Amino acid sequence: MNSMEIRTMSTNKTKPHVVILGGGTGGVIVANLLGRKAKKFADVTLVSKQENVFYEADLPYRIFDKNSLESQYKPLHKVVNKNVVIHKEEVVALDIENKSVSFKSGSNISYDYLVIATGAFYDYDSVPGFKEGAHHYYNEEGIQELRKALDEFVKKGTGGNIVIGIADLPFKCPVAPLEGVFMMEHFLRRKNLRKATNLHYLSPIGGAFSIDQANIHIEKKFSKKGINLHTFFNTETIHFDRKVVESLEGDEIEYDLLIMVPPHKGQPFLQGTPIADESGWVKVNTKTLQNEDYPNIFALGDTANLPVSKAGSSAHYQAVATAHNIIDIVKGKIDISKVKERYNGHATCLVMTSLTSAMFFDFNYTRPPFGLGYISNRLFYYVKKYQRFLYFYGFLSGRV
Amino acid sequence: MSQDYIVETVIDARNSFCPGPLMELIKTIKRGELGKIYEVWSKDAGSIRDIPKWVEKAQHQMVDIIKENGHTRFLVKKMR
Repeated sequence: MNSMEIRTMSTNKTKPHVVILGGGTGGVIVANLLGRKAKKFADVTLVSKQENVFYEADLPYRIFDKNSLESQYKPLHKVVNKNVVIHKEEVVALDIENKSVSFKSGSNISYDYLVIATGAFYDYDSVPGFKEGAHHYYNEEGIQELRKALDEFVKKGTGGNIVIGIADLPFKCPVAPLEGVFMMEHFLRRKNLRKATNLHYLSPIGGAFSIDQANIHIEKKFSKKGINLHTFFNTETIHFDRKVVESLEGDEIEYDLLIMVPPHKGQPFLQGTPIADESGWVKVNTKTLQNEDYPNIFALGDTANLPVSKAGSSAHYQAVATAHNIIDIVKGKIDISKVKERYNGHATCLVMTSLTSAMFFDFNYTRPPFGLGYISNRLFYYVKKYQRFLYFYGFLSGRV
Repeated sequence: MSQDYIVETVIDARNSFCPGPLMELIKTIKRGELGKIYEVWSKDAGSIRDIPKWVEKAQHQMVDIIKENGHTRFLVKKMR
């Protein structure tokens, strides 16, 4: 990886200071829009503990191919506007009353406006047995371990029970476990192991997916592909010693290979603060993305406690909405108490339905996905396959 | 006219969409006390179908379902 370029901090005290926490999709888009459109009106700092922005949507592919994850990283200094100061630090605390952020290094930074886009924290310990018994594909380390386990399963050649489930709600990218099970089904067919393998999908809710109209189409696919759906399965404990996953509702499922979405929480520095709920998600107005007690604080993406998918696409739309409100505030066009309701719950998902086909969901708070998107096809697959280029060279800029 | 119940906790999930109200109820019941009643308010149409189904599956007791103006109150007794 390339090393981080630390740009010089501005010392101009006459302009308000906008601090953006998090160098992921949402944080980078806000930074780029402010850097381009508000440079005369605000100093903008992007704080990230990582040197790179990471494209997560390709992670399910990486379970099944042998490709490196290198192409999913891009150095922040290459994708962030030159008017933005990049500060490589890990946030450890917020002093909301004094408008200050403290870092692991011991230093701190003050802000006039704060945008929190620090994503989710994987709280593996909150489900007993998760670390010992479950695999996942929510980061590079998880992918590497899962690849080894899947290789062993294939080498053994006898099939068995593959269980794919969700440790807790909410979690990032609600379609990711569906993609995992559909792609696994196709992968097993390619390896001549499908007949010897029972595929089980554990869903905490009453269906495979939370949007009824989409769920009908997804459950039809489950039925056609012979995937066993277990609803109302809220994971309680993983008994790794006897390879059994147990639910709060009292069900038990045996597994040979267990793949679970890890439990998600807000980042530790947010937990226990007055702006966050009990899981550490920042409380915001669903349409303005502004904290109602501290109106100079905005949150978006996985970080916010919004009733919408935690996904890159929703973070993208939320970032654009947040950036334009902050631009209007620093330009003096609107008062901070009257920010516009710019976000309508918009999210889009390309959902892999095999290794070579996908569906497309586009929805918002009030509208379910369009009908044509339910038709699983090769075109959507190619869009998803090459979306990474659009992400790095289009979406992150905030222009698309 | 519904009867009065002694409710341990009321969860106002009227601003939450499916599966929010159900998940809030599950979270509360999980750490709740045996024999106590927990109440969740929901405006989501899916709750009418999902909450009673979950209560039955999890072997708790659906004490009452009360329709109010614009939302529904679900009262659930923790049984295990």
